[in-house]
Amino acid sequence: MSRPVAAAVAAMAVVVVVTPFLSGTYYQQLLAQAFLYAIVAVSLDFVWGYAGVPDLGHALWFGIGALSVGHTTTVLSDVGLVTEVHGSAGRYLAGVVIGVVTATVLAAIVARLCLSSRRSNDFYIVVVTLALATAAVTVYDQTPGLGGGENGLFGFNLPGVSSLGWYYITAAMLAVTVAVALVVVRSDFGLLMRAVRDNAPRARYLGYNDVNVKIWVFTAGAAVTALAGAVFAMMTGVANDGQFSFTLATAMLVWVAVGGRATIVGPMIGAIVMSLAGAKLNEQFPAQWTIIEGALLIAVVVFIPGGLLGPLVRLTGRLLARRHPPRGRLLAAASAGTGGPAPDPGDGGPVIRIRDLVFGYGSLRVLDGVTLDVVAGELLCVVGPNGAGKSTLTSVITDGRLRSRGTIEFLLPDRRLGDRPAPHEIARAGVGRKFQIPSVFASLSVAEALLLADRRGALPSPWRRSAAVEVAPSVIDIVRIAGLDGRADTPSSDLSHGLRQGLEVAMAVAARPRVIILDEPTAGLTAHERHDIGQVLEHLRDIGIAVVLIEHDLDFVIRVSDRVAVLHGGRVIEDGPPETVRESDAVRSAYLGTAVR
Amino acid sequence: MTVLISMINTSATTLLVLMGLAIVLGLMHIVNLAQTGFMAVGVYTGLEIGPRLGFWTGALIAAVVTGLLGAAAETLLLRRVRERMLETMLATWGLSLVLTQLIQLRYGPDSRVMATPLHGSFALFGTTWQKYRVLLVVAAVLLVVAMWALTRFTRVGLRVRMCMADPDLAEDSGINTSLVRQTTFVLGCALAGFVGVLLGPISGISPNYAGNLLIPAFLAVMMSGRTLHGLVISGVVLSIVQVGFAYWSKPAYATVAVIAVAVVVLGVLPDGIDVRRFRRAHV
Repeated sequence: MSRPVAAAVAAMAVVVVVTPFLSGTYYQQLLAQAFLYAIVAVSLDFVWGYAGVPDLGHALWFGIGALSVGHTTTVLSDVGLVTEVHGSAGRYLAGVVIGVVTATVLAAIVARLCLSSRRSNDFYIVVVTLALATAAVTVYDQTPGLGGGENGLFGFNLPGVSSLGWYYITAAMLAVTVAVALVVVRSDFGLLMRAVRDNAPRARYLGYNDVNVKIWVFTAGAAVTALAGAVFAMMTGVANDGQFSFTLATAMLVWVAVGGRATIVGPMIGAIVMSLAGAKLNEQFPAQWTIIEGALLIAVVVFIPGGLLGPLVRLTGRLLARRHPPRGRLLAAASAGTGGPAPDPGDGGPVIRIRDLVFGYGSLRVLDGVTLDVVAGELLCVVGPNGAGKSTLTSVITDGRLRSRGTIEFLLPDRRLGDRPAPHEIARAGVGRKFQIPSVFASLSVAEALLLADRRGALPSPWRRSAAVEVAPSVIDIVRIAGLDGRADTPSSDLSHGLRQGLEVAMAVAARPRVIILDEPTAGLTAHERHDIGQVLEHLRDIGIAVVLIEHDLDFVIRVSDRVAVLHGGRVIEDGPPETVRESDAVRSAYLGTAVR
Repeated sequence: MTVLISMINTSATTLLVLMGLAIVLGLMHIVNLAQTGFMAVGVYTGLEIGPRLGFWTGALIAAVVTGLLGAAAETLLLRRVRERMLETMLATWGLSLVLTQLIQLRYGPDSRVMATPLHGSFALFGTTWQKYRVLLVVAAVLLVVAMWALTRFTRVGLRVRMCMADPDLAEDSGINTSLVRQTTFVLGCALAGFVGVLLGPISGISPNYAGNLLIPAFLAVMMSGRTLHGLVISGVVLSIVQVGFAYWSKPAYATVAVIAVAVVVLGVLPDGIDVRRFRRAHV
């Protein structure tokens, strides 16, 4: 730990240790509650800020934890009034465990259902999480045998722990939570979380299972929140419908939004400050306090997207975090070739065999029986007029679930693929892709994006932070040609269109593919840059990669390609060496707009 | 029979609530979580005005009030987060909280009752029908038909559809898309206020009284594949599920069942309910 960080942590520790002696038990209790809320805020920041899953019903997990402890330690009468409290340690422990497990399992199910749907978007997640929290309150109120109905459960405080004791316990819990959270978000796995949040499809086509990443983070956040809820219930001896309510869920959102999303420390401070202020104001003016919370939420979301504390936290973080050097160093990997296992240099056999591929929506057939081989060590250009289905072909090859009919066989040695593999499986097997419109991770620097690409779907470590990025020499070449050298630490959102194109090609190559499909990599580049990209592509071909280039520019195509496939009306109308294709009547009439038989 | 009537009534309520949501979502990609707040503003306006100037005047004034509020919200807030769905959801959610709490501050949290403008009932098919509830069903049907006719047959509808299909192209074709957007949002909010009053006589009125109505409405909007018939089918299906569960099981489980049905339907039909897709399913 560097000196400033150590000093800051030590100062914090002193403040935390000394504070309770300067205040009465009342403030010790308030602070202990605030610390638990801060844990919740950090977990929500993890879920929403870093993984981009807006959980509007995050209170649900808190409530489950609290209810579980309440339910296991009390005996209820028929109408749901607490008649007896069982104070054995085993019951408290069981309550905590059951609460955390229930929340974890339920969160995993909810996340799986919400996130794995093709239609999944923020709207879906918001509505379902909000609806679940609302439903939970209704169920709670109408099932007195579960949690005492509208009266709730009470009187089951864990005996023998003073408010000072709780203060230290919760402070320690918060310290651990924040420390773990900071390590994870700065680790290589933290990169993946941000990548998935910024641009899930791009992560998918680099071989990462974006849905699973989100499900894990969501579930972990729910588990931590349930633990906080359980401890809250043991401390206060209260469980009620308010702990599930959207009022609390909204307060959680406000803590994170005000504190600054994706900063960890900001939401923590936001939760502590706002829950202390709220506790004071709430006693006298409950309605006004909620209005203030609502207004703050609007103000922060609309006018100060970084949060009130966000910029401050980021600045302090940057000053303190000197020990985390930016991942700017790009190193050429020692081994030659692509840096990975060297592909067999062009034995002439196909690596992707496409037969009678049909894809359509409704009555429209975009691909109408495409038959095509992609061969290792060959530079294949797919050309065709606008609307011929070129980009669709790319999508259908790289996502095995899309096609309507026909077969796509991947003859890739490392990995056997099923009949209809998901995009990340195809990417892991060694099929790289560049989108037509440059698609990058907004908040990741060039080096960070290449680091993720280089891992090709292998899960990064949740604690280790790579200091340098080791990539294949060909990637270094592309970085240089694209004008990205010296910009390794630039966030992708700050790159121009042309530079993003270059970065995406570099990412595709960094994944050490056996097949690389590039959808118009030269769009928006100058003639000189085109020439350079052409050289890179030829180099990739020479080291045994199958290169598929979707292109408009026929001159460029004829200069670089070994073979040209002409797509028109959803079919391959010509497939052969560039010279033959140039002379073809069918091609000429396709480009001039005459009907093709 | 009572269950059936209850299903019809609930479907009507859900449809009335979700139409306002659907036009705003369909055209502006705004998920208006403030709909609850606008409905509450509407119903309390109705409570204030109704006893003095009559129920229907109250409903109209409520529509004007919420329409104006909607215009203010659109101009001051939502325009700044245009096309950013999550931000609009959070902003409208905050707005909803502010509105309902302001009402609670002024009127207190206690439940109130609104006089119905149409008393009495009549007998048909061997059961009694309350006139006002039948009126609500008619209103829901009229609203759906009006919506369909408006988008299908009028120039206004054509413009709206152009803006939905491609805002940039619509803008280039000489349509003031920002005006169309604002008008739609205001209409959606005015409709919320009006519907808020309409539902007043059949609900216990409290500041957050629309909260529970809204969840099935939102789930229905989510389930529908952005078509009018999809909306209607989703709304009716979820209402049937809700009433059925409340009747044969426990009301508490109805809310959970509605969510489960919506999620399962979307799992099976990721594109939502859209009859045309069934017809063209075989390529």
